Formats: sequence, C-alpha cells, structure tokens
Amino acid sequence: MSNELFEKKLAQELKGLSMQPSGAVWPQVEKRIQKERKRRMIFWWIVSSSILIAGTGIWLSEEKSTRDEEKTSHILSKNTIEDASSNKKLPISEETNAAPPSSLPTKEILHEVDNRSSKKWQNRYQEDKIHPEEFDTELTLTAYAPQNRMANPVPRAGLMSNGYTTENLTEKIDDTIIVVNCNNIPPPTPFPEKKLKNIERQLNFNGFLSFHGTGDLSGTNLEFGIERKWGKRYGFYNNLGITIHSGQEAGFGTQYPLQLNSTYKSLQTVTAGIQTMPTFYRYSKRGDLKIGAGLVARYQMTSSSMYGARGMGPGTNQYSYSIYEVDPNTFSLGYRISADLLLYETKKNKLGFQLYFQNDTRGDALTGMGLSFQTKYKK
Amino acid sequence: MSDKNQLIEQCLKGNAKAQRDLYEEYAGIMLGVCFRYTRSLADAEDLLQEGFVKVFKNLRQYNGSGELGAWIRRIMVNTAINEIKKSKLSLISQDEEHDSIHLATTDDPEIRLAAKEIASTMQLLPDGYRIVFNLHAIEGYAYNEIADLLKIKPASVRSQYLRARILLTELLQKAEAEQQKPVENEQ
Repeated sequence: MSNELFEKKLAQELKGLSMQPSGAVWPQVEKRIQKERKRRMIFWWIVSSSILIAGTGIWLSEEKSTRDEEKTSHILSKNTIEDASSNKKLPISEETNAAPPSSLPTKEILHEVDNRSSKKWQNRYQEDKIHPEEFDTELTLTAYAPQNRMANPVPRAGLMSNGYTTENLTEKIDDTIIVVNCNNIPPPTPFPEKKLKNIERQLNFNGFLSFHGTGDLSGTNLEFGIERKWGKRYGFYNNLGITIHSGQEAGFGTQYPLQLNSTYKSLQTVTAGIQTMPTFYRYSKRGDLKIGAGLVARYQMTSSSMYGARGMGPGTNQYSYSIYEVDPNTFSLGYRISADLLLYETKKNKLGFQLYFQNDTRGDALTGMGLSFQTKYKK
Repeated sequence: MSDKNQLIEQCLKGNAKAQRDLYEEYAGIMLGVCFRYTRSLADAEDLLQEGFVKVFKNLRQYNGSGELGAWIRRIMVNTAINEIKKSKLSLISQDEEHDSIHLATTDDPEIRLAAKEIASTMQLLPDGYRIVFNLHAIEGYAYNEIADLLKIKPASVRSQYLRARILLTELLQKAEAEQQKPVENEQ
C-alpha cells in the first residue's frame, strides 16, 4: 500500500468512527447549558440595571444642578440690587470700608456664578449696556467725584475685558454705577440650612434575586422592616426576611461530575429560610447611597440532608465521592453587608437598587441584588 | 426551511428537546473524534461534554454556510487541542530534534482492523505523536498550521508525524497479528 493511500484509508476508517456515549454525558451538558444561560441572563440584568442607574443618576444630578443654578442666580441678583440701593446713602468712607450685610453675595457665590452662569451675567451686562470702555479712570473721576460717590476709582487693571470680575461686583442702577469691593469682606456666612428633625421612620420593602452557596441554587429573598434614621447620615434597620432557593447541587467540574448512587435519587435541592438582619446604615453626604453592615439570625430548612464530598480513597490516587449527612433544619448566626443606591425619590417614597452578601455559621453564603422601596410613615 | 435549520433555531431559543436531538444526532460521531485525541473513553466523554457546551454556547455563530457536522467537528478538535494545551502534555520527544527521520519506503500494512480498533491502537501512541498524527493525517491540517496550533516548530511537527507513522504501522501490524492468532489456533 503506498504511503498516501495508507493515510487516506486510515482517515476514511476513522472519520466514520462512531461510538455511543454513556448516559451521564447529556445531563451534564444540559446542566451546564442551563447554568450558562442563567449566567448570561444575570449579566444582562446587571448591565441593564447599571445603565438604568447611571441614566437615572445623571438625569437627577442634572435636574438638581439646574435647580441650584436658578436658585443661586435668583438670590444673587436680588441681594445685589437691594444692597446697591441701600448703599446709596452711605458716605464715601463707609461705603468702601464698611462690612457688608450678611445677605451680600460672597466670594464663593461669585465664584460659583462665574463657573455656572457667567453667560447669564455677561448677558445682563450687555442688556445694561455696561462696557469696559465706560470704566476709563479719568472719566470715572470726572463723573463721580462731584457727586462724592467713590473714594477710590476702580483701576482699569482690576476689571476683566468683559467688565466683570469675581473680586469686583458692579451694578448699574438708574445711571449710577456702584462698585463693591469684596476684598475686605469677612468669611462668608453660609445660607442657613433647614434644621432636620431628629428621628425619621420609614417602612422598607426589599425584593431580591438571590443565590445560595456557590450560585448553584437560585431564588428570591423578600424582606420587610422598619428603618429609623438619625439625622441625615445614620439609620438602623430591623427586619424580617424569607428566602427560598432551589437548584441542582454542583459537582466538581467536568472531570468529576457529582454522581450519586440510586439511594439518593434526586440532585434537586430546595432551601428555605427565615431570618432577621438588624443593620446599621451610613448614608453618603448626598443621601443617595447607603452602606449597611449588621448581624443575621437565620433558621434554614433544606430538602436534602446529604452532602457530597470528593476525596482520595486509601491506596488509590483516584478521587471518589463520599456522602455525609447534615442536619436539614438549622439555626445559624452570621453577618451581612449591603449597599443601596437611590434610584428615584419623591417627598415620601424612595426607590433604590440594593446589593447584599451574607454569610453564617452554617457556612451558607447568600448573595442578592434587587429593588428596595422605602416609604416614610412618621416624622 | 430545512429540518436542520429548524432544529438550530429551536436550540437557539433554548428548547431543551431540540438541544437533546442535536446532541443525539452528533454525539456518536463526535465521541469518535474525541476518542482519537485522548487516552481513554472517560477522557473522551469529558471532552465531548466540554465540546457540546461550546457548541450550544456558540451556535449563534454558525452561519449555515457549511455542514453543521463539520462545524461541530471543528469545535471538538479545537476543544481537544485546548485541553491538550491546558494539561501541558509533552508534545516533543527529547531526541526528535537531532534525528532526521525519513518516511519508510517499505509498504504499509493492509488495514484490516475496524475503526475502533485502529483508534484504540492510536491511543497507544505517545501524546505528541497521537495528536500530530490525528491533525495531519485525519483532519488534514498542514505542518505549519499544526505548529501554530501547538506552538511548536514546524520541523518538530514533521518529525513527530513521521515517528508517529512508523510507530503506528508497527502497532497496527502487531494488533493484526494478535487478531489473527485465535483464528489460526482454531484452524
């Protein structure tokens, strides 16, 4: 037989080789496909939630920034005009050296205005027809000296090209330009904050997509509880939750799939738990994120009292499975950490996205993500 | 729309029955492919499982232009190669770099063995030989392609292949002789 023919014949024989796989292969393939599908769903769920959170966050922050801008602009213009009018009656020395009233716009505000709404101010100057050319030193002296309005004329260098500077505020009222020098202004008095009531209570309802153990068992976790808030930054949440998870116990990878003998017919496991998780919350400054840490007391029931473990038998280097029994109903203590991001807020209600992880003395780990709804019921 | 396309569509929708049908249609032939690359039937089944998970995971990428079986076979072979790389099997024998091997000019034996027996005989080859021989002689990969896949020199591939061929010829002859023995005894 020639060389090429040998290979050709061999290839022909071997390409047609068909063997019957054992029945254990398909269930493993099926299980892994389902797991993969579930993983993909979770991935898309996280991606879409993240997009939703990011979008809502951006929208809310823009909304807030617009409101702040309008508010600042309104207060500023009101205060300057009032101040300018009242300053008319002051003699020259008092006018320049006297401490301004507390309502006078401060450097910080001017800086803020400079950053956020310089365009608005520029427009106002254009409307009032104030131009840098008007601030000629000689003209200023001539124009204002007889009226005894200014002790020191504004030096030309002190003004920016658009006639406006953060250190000097100018306002034109009835053909009179008042220049307020802010250099001697004492540290700014912040706008008075509205005092918060000490304790606030809210009802919390949380619903999670959660996973038990290494993620083999998936299910849900529903919680209901009362949160007491101290001030803006602290909260204590006491609650009651139920969890239910189900799935197939995992083996140890493809090399060692979980194989039980016929005594243990089903690999399907269901766990159910009832738990309470007193949690302390710390809120972020803006109040849109709260981080929680607390204890867990949990009672769990499981459908399976059997656990599989892999080990090497005596005198062999092959892994084998051994089955041992565990108590299906157990009480355990543990800890829990969580993070809750505010998604939407009305005067009374809040909607958030929460992630949590908990672990207990039984060795059970629970991971979940879901929505949290909070409603204030007493102030 | 052909039955195969419908089957693929159902598989993509996550229909468990369709997935099982697809598996059953190709599992036998693909186990044959996996068997050639591994040392035992158990390893071949592990490889088959891994390969089918990849098939279902990537089924969306199958554009229908070629034969579905060929596409699945390709996945199985790639999975086998990846597993080989992962297990870090020694693919190069120590003396191969120094020896210059020439293809035996003697006639090769007539192949009277069944496919499974040939495959079983191939399993007796060292890992490197077996894999290179499979890729070149059965799958039709060129030396350079194999060298790229296995990250070894093309010269090593050629040398491995020739050694594999010689050894396989010997093993096949031995296997055939052993097969004939009981027949002769009976006579």
